[in-house]
Amino acid sequence: MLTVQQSKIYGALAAAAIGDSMGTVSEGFSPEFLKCRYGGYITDLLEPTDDGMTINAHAGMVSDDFSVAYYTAEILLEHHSPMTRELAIKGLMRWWEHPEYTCYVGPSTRNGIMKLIDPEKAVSKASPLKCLNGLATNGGGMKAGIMGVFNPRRCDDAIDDAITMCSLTHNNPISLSAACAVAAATAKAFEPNTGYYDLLEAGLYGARKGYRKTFDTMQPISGCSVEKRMLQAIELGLRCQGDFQRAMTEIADTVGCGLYAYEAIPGAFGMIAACKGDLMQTLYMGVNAGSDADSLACMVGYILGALHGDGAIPRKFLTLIDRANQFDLRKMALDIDAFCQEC
Amino acid sequence: MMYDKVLGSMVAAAIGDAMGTPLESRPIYLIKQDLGKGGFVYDYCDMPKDSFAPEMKKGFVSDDFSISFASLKAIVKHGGISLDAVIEGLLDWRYGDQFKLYSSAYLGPTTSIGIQKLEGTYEPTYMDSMECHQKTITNGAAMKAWICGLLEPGNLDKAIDDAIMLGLPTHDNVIALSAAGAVAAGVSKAMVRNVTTDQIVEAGLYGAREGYRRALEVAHDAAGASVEKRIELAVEIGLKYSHDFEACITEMTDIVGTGLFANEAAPAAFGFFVSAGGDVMETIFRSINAGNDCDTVATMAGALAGAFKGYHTIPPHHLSFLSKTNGMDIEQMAKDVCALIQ
Repeated sequence: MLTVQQSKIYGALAAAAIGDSMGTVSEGFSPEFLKCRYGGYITDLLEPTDDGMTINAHAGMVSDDFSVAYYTAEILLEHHSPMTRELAIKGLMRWWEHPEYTCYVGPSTRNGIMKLIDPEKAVSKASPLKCLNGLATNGGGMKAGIMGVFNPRRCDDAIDDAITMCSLTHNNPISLSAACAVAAATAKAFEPNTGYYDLLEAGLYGARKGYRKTFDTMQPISGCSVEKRMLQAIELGLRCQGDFQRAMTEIADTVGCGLYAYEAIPGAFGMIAACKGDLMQTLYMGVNAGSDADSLACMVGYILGALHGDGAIPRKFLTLIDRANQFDLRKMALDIDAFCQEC
Repeated sequence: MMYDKVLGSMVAAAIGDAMGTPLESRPIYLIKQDLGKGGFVYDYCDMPKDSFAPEMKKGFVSDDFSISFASLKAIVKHGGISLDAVIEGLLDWRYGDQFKLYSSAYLGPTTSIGIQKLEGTYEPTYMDSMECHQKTITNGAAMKAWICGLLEPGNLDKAIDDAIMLGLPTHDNVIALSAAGAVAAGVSKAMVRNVTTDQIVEAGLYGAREGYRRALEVAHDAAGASVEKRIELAVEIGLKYSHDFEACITEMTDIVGTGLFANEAAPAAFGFFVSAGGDVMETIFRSINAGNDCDTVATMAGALAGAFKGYHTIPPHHLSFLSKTNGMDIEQMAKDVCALIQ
């Protein structure tokens, strides 16, 4: 029998992995196309098709989104230490040894890794431009939820750790603003008597604080405001409550669910608002919105998995995720819980 | 009358591109800090060292206007738009003496792949097996689609079809072509006598919707935000902040976006056009100071405003300066385009 905190940690890890895996099948497609192909909404861990974004994957396998965080968590547990820049590098490097997941690497993460292992090949080195706007991606947000899991109830610590972890690969204020939104909302979800309004507020707090903390020290960049897009998405979500299809379409059409940090992260919060914080409904909405569905659903998984605990997740998904990826997420959850008690 | 609109659109597009290019990629605060001596920019600037092409001189246009001009040149030569003319224009831009300067400095990845495909030298990658083309939903089809509006005054449907033909070789997906349809239809409407800004927006929305629907039959599917919905949002912001320059550009970049993607840049162009009431220079100043892919936004917004208000509203020094600097006889081209329309 798990304690409340253990169940919340397990819920966050498992739901993030399920969101990632389920969304890997729908990533890159438009919602209309998905509905035609599958004759309705995707609500299961399906085999990927060969005309999507996956490479040699099968049902239940996660992609880069969850796996970066997974290996970083392993490193923190092994070293029995809170997040530091050195451990973030170790986590990223351990992930880099797994080609089954690194094949999904995005532009900004690749740039960050190249800066560490072969600086001459980094885009940021080769380009003359002051602002590399193509790097304002959601790869910080996709993995930052794990820092909320390691800092239950401590939003500010989760924000600091998310910046340490994500600035290796996403050293711009837009990506980090998005990362801090996810980390803060995940940390908040561990607090007793928390509802989804509280999570939306914590997310907005994280976006604002993350942007302000990194604006002066990170690389300058052009792009939309994560916080303002979140407000827009949340407003749309609240207005469309009770109408799954309409909420999904409005958010995907106007806010967007794409690769950029100012699309997928606001999209995730809008969907939480639209589904009143229901874990599986929000996850399905993220998956079926297509575009960068796996990142979006992974982030939703951290936040709402932590809110509801593992009891809200169908058992069949838990076993398939562990088997397909050779994870033991329940054990990892217990280890993180023990780590949090001690550190 | 028609000549005034055609020349106005061409000159305004060129001003937008030439003024926007040195500011491209920066956020608003860095435009002020690095190029505006603390304030906004209202004139041509020298190219900063940290730009795509620091060797280019003040007043040079970039790919946006030069591809459009090369396409017009081929269309005029062929006596109208056709696939042959489109391909000839693209290859002339890539290799012709007149445009080599621009294509060697500004050849983007999407256009480059399109040209390789035309030449049969393209090596497919695993990305080509994907059903939906997410990475090419960029604004390169929309940036040149305004010329299709010039050529078809008031004939929205033909302008949209032409914009799809013009954009398809390089931007083979529904979102890029939806944005192209919006810009083509907007400019087509702006060419009509006594038209109003709201009618131009209606035409743009129709072009986005129809461009998407028609492209579904000939182009790849794509996942991404809707150009049509984002135009609605951009117009809402433009109207709300029409009397506040700084709030207008800040809210537009923060919420709609002014980036490389077709569902950011094209909607923002409509937003700025509306916010300035269609005034040519005000539309351009708002577009360029918003930063990011501002030269493309300013080219499209300029083309809309220039067609709407006409050349007589534009200070006269721009035409001679831009024609001379870029070695492009814009005046003659406007005459040729008019001859083609009539």
